[in-house]
Amino acid sequence: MNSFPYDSWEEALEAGTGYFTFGPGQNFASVLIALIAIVISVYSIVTVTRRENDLFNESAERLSGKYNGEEG
Amino acid sequence: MDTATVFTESYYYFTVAIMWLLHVGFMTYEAGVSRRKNIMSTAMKNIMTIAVVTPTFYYLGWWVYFCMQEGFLPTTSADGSAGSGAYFCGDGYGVPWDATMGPNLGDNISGVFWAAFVLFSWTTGSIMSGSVLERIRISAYLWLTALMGGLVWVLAAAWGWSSGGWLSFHFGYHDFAASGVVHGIAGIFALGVLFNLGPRIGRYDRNGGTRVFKPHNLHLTLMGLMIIFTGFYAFYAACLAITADSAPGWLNIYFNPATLSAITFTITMGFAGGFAGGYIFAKGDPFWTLSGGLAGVVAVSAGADIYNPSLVLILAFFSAGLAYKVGTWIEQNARIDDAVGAVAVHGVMGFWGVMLVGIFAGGYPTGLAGVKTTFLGQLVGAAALFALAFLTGYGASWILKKLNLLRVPPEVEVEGLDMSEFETDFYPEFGRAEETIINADGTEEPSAAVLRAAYADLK
Repeated sequence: MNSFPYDSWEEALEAGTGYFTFGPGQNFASVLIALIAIVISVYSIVTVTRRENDLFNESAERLSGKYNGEEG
Repeated sequence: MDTATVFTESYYYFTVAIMWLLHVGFMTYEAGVSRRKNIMSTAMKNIMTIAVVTPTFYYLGWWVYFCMQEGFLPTTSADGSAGSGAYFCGDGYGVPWDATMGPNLGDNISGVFWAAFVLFSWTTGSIMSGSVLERIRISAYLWLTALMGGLVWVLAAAWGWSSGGWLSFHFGYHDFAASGVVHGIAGIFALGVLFNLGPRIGRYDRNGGTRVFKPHNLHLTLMGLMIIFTGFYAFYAACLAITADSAPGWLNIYFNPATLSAITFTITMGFAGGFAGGYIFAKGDPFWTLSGGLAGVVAVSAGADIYNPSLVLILAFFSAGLAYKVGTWIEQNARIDDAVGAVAVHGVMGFWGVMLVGIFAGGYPTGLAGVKTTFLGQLVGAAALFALAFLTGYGASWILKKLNLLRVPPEVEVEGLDMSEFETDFYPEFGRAEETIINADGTEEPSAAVLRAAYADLK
């Protein structure tokens, strides 16, 4: 797969435009890459939220005895 | 490529690199303030700020800055009535798939200028981070900071920190180094969050007295503040704009003439006045001496491009004292547990600084329309931005609270966040000294029994 859509530098140099992979911008591939990156970003923060919630619930359950006078 | 372009590109690049120090400093400062049992939980908030705010700003914030200068809806007009910045919007500038948002032989500036704004975005998150430490969930903080760093402060900047924003274009709102749009927004957003988050367990006794949790390492905290101050020079420098007509000189963000020299006078004299004021008003308290320096500079930032250096010293001196008084009142009278005084130092001093411009720089022709800065115009700006920050901070944290995702469980808070989240002690080479707490009457005692009693009071 050729994801760098330029045969030479000439076109980009003359036009003074973007020259990045799947670029330069405003095309289906660029939009798709951006959307995938957004999904990964959202997935990351959702995962942090879920993982942290699980950890805290486990800890709270484990510690509840200690702090409610059932032990120590 | 002309020299001016290379100069401009290099200039912003190095401001970005040096502004990283702000975040080194915030992390150091806040970790030092924390009790030993919460060190890594605190530091992780600062680290993960970068992970969530950067994409939020790339995919949303940059476009908002250019397209929402007239309010909450995108505008594309360039007929003069709608300011001058909105014309970028119609070209697709700022959307993440635009050709300017990546390597581009015809655009050396967008990347470095965007990055400077990203560093401002992180700063808003780091300001809030200190206020909420030791009881907020990292994930809750991340949702909140993504909202503030990717949208709320950006809206404020679009309105009042651009050449075409409705506040600057129609009201002559002048806020050179972001007293209101960064510090004020972040501090008041944090205030809205604190209303829902509540104080740390044991912070207030049954009689309404205020207890003090001792920082686990005050030296680390003070060093962190000094690192923040170093980064401030780059923050100020990045507030200057360079255009094709001005290069190799500078303009302020409203495209009025400004110099790097002017802001260097201001920031240096501001720190001097702020440290002195903090020391005097707080009777030598180390924390408030250094926070006084920060408060002083925040208060003079809005007019940093035009203030007389002696005026800066005077304003910073008394602003530091005001910050100390307000911070103490918030802590002891309002019983709002702001762990680092950020609401007073950034929020209140930020908007105080906006109003100082109305008093001491009235008549300054701000922006492309040359609208004179007035007390009333500054008041309109402060009121709009205050409402924007408080309502969004309060609303978002209220939703998280209703979902039971805002605060850690009380057992975890008393035991310490690090053991629950990371299952390790982050100073394994040192013995664990008994944690103590300072009561409202000044006596000091081991905290375990106090916290346990406070925990029981929750039930």
